[in-house]
Amino acid sequence: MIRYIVKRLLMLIPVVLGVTFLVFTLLHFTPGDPAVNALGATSTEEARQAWREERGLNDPFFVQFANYCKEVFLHGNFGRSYSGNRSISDEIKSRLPISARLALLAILIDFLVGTPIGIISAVKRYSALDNILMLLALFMVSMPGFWIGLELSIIFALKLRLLPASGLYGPQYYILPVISIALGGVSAAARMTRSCMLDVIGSDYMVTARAKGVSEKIIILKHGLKNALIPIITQIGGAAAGMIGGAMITEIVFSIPGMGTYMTNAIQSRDYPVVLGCVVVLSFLACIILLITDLAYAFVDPRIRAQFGGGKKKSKKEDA
Amino acid sequence: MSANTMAAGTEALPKKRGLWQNAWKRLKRNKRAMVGMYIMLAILLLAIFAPVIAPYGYDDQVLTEAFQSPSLKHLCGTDNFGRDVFSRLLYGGRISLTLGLIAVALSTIVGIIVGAISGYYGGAVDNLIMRCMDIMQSIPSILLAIAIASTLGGSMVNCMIAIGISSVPLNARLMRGMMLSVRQNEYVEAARCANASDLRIMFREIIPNAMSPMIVNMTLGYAGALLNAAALSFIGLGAQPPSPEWGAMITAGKTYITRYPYLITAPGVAIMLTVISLNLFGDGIRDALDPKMKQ
Repeated sequence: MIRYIVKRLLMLIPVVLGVTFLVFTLLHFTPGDPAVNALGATSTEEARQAWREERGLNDPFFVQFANYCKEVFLHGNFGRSYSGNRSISDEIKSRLPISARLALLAILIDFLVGTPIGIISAVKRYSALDNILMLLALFMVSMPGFWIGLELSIIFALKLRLLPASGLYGPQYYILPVISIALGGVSAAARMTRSCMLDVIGSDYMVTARAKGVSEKIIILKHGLKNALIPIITQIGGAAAGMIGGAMITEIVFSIPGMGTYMTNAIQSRDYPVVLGCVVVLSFLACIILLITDLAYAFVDPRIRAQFGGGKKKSKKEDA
Repeated sequence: MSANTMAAGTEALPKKRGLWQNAWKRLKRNKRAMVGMYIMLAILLLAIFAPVIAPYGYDDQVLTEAFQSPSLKHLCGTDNFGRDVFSRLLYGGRISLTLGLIAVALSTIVGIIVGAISGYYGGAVDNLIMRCMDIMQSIPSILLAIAIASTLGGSMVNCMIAIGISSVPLNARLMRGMMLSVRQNEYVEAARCANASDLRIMFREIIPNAMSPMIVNMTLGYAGALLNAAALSFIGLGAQPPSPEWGAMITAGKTYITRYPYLITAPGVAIMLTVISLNLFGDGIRDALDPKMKQ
């Protein structure tokens, strides 16, 4: 198992480097002169030139990339922002925990609420309850996350005055943002769980278990869920990683001082080192979530455990 | 499926039409899918005939009538410039729907080509392409779209490109998977024996037989593209403010959220209805094309 974890961690390295390269290249070729952006249109050419030299923007592309990687991965230094010349790492350090807390809470809710709903729906297939739950889930996955946030803040903050709508000064400030991030995910999880459970429920071993006279509860939870859990975990993991992006946008709705607000402000002021840093960090977070998903997968499925626990067998990465 | 498609390779159309006809028959029996299709058709018609249906122009400013609540005269009220929200929704539908469609078409076409090459040639080419796709996929799609859009600058066209490209990996992966399984069929071997070129085998023999999951993915991807487009607009990287694109309308309405919440509710509901109908229809097509449901 440890070998497997180490292997997966090693596999992360090329991916993270690749992500950095991709985003670095994208933002490098952005039209417009960063020096003009940073120093203003009235600055002299000498000042701009000095500024470029100081930031190494005159170096060849690959040298710049290598320097960037060296700073980021060896020193954890994301450079300085164009506007205000502030350390990006410090900003990220103070903002990342907030974003991560929001995202993790939302993922937890997805799993704890979405999966049971899916199971209930699958067990009571085609019943009124199933129809209502699935219709609700369909509505929820079809709304833009930030719009759910806006509507929730209209209802609960403006109309009912129950919860605060912006800022982050205490636990109650988390409620609306987390709900609006999680709602889509809960519904997606419920829909996935339902279809995975339905795939399993028809299988022969379920019929056998029923014929043996095993109680329905054990059949569903032990025979059914345990087998359905494998695809469920993969799908929820993938969705959770994707949710990080949505969470960034929801942050703006509730003016939460997290990564999302930082990144969007940077986009608007064309502060590309900040955008780059944020995308790299958030993608890294997404990779970690996918990694945890894979590990959970191995934890749940004894076949995978055996494959990697045994040592020399090579991992076969199967693509869907 | 294999008997059906095997014949399709050599005798061409009649049998293949049978596959789609069967799927259509199953789809027609699926009530949810039909509801989805009818809503979608209605939305499409409303958008296409917007100039005929809309009571006002999308940019007709009547400042004296700003912030009117929904009434018979203005079905969804008016915004800060006194523009009729309902008319803007109709015109915005044209923009949003086109935007989503082009983004999906882009990602599907690029995805098919990339995936087909990867799956057909295999080996080093496959490895290289798939590792690139891995990297693209490990960035959450909306973040990748944000990165691309902020490079290109915020505009409608760039928004389409950004959303299209960010969902290429999914399509490429899907196509590659189909390619790998369809490639095994005898009719492909037959074509190869007949000295057909790689391109011909790819585009005439394999891709048509690998289309069904792509079509499912297109409808569901359309829904996703609409949501992502709205999100991009919301952070200022999509359609720019005077445009009645739905996401841009929500963004514009956000300023007045405390007093005039209907300004963001109306475009949000429009997005939601469109996405719901696409999801319903897409789920329906998936079930209809699912070989497991064939009996």
